[in-house]
Amino acid sequence: MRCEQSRQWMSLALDNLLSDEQKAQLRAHLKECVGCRAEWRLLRMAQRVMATTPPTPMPYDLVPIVMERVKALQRERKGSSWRFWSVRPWRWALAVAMPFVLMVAILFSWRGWRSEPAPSESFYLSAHVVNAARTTAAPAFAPISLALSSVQFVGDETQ
Amino acid sequence: MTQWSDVRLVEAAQQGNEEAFAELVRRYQSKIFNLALRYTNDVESAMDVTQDAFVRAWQMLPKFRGDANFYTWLYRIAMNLCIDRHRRALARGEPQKVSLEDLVVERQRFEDGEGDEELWWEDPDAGEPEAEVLRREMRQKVWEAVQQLPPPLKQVILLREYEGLSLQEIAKIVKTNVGTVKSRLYQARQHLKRLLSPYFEEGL
Repeated sequence: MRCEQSRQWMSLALDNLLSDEQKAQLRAHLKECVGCRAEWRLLRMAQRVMATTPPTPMPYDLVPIVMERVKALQRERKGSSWRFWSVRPWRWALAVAMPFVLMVAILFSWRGWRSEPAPSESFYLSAHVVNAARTTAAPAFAPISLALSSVQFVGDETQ
Repeated sequence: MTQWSDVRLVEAAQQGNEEAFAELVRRYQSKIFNLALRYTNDVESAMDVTQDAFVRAWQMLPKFRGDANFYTWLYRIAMNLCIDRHRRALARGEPQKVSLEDLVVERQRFEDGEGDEELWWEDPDAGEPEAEVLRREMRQKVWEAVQQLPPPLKQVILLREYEGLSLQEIAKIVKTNVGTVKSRLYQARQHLKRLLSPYFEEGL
């Protein structure tokens, strides 16, 4: 057995994962190899020390502290929905008023849409008319207006 | 309620029974504290982690479906809190509490016999008083060496050697497979060997 394999088997042996045959092979190697034997002793010692380390006593009992935090969480969860409304009363007023405001807004917009007059012909201004107006209002932009007026109009001028 | 099994207590706690949860805290606080203490190496931090672990467990209790043991699940919560704390400490640049460099070099051989039977397949008898003093020193050095391990290796060695959990339980806690746990244990032991050999053995 090579020492590298022996090292891997030592770790498995510490976890009690070797078969009897493998244990026998490892044991034979440890008898022959001084380095592996020393390593094995060190690992066994470390394992034994860790396994037998007594637990450190707690400085104080955590049960009352944890349970107080748990109770606080419970209170918070139960109270959170009620507190939302109770802390600021204006939220009640807002909650009651909101549906009315929405209803009125919808009603008015619907009425407005129903009574909206049909668009007159003058509503559809052509680009030429707009450019002419711009040229009159701001002569300095006349070259730009001229250039724009050459762009083909894409609206429906028949309406 | 002290006679109740974990499963029964967990079910009662899931239905809002705070007393059942208090019993679980009572039952596992010492184990979680010791796990956290071994990880953080600081009593106050360990107490904080323990407290937070139970509060987190209470919050997550409705999601606990009983696929794992309660304590395995609790260990995972505590371990994650320890890792978070460790990362935050590293990000803040806090120094490590323990350094092997600070230790007085004491070489101590452990001559438990040279024969075939003393290859420590079985634990040797350890009842003598002087052995107890020696063991305390060894315990301290091994403890300090464990503190030097990289976090993933430290995690598995703590759970395996100090807590005595099975490889399967460790795999569940660290969310990996058994093969990876074996591999990490091997690496952890190789690290420990390197860290401890100057103190305990010559010629390693």
